[in-house]
Amino acid sequence: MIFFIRKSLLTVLLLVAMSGCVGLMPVKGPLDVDGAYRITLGETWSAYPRDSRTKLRNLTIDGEALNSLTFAASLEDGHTLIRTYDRQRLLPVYRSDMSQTEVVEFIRDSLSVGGMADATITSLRPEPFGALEGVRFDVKGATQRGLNMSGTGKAAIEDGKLHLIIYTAPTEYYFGLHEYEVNEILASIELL
Amino acid sequence: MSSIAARLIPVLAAMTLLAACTSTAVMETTNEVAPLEGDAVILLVEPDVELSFLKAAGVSEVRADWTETGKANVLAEIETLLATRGHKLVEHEIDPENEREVQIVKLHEIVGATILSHRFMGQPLPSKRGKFDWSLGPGVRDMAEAQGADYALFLHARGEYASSGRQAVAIGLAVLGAGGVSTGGQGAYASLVDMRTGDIIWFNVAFTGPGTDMREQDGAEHLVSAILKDIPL
Repeated sequence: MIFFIRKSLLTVLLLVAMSGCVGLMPVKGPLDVDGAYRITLGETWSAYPRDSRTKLRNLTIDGEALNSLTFAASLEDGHTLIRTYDRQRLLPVYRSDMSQTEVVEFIRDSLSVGGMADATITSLRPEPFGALEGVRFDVKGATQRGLNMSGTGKAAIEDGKLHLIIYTAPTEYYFGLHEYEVNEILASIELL
Repeated sequence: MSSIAARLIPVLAAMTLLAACTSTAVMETTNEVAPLEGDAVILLVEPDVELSFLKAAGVSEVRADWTETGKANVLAEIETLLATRGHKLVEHEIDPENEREVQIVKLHEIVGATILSHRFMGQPLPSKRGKFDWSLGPGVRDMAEAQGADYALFLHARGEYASSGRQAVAIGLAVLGAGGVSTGGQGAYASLVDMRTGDIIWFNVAFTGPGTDMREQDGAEHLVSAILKDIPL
């Protein structure tokens, strides 16, 4: 909880120092994702630095907890979307021979392990991912504190490597606030 | 630096944390807002309060009795403080069976935490371009309709109170030169929401040391007067 920032001056200074190091950048217009595909952003988003371990890039407009657009490109066999230092922990792992249904299950399991309660994938349907045959899906779940979350996303496999885009936001107000923009982004994918 | 001075610094830090200091910071919307009418109806949404017992090992445990006392004290102080402002105040208890209301309170918690993270912690969102335009959305109208409310005050508060064992550990470690052991404290944020749009038109946060205790009437008064000191009502 944010409350705990009052606990010690050292903690406050550490958090401020860490937050200052995150380096959020404004992004708008065409955005290349790891040289694999390009999307076009109609609005200005705030971009977090790419996570070198998970290879995920995260964008938000109102704050990560209020709208989160996550990208990954060319994920290889054995890759996990979860960042952890616990080597004993069992994590969902991508396999290059997964079917589209199994890929979506991998995404659902990753959301669950990442903290989304009751993560469910709905409305699985085929949809192009640039020139690739992709799969479109919707997400339902909740935060650990019980705030209902909604999401939507798209995935495709190219030469055994996974491309992935997921958008999540609280169901109350925030999901709908940028849903049109997100649908436009998902429709703008071009393979590079 | 001498070893005595080196040991004094964490002791002083611990004493500062034990003091009843309070810090606040106010944010106001950058959206266009009509001036509040003198006879506006203000919904006082049941405060979202959770008070915990901080054990010697640092594990906290929510105490239902403290939480209820703190909530009642905070609500009473809000009513006392706003009673002189000329608006009609209406208490609004959250119905746990009303999923929409429950979700809006949970949304307020996360929106408030986001505002803290990006407006008070040195990590501004470039996408906001300096604007303060967070909202709970028009879903709040459902809460407003029954009482014809124009605005609503949401308050989220958390508190931790250390056991005597925990306080002894903090002081002992400070004397040995190891600071940074929490002895509890209280934090709260409040939002004034335009019930026509759900927009947060005013937001304030307050942190107090463990010397201020919202389980007591005067502690609640201290916290509430700090957090509502600049509310535009």
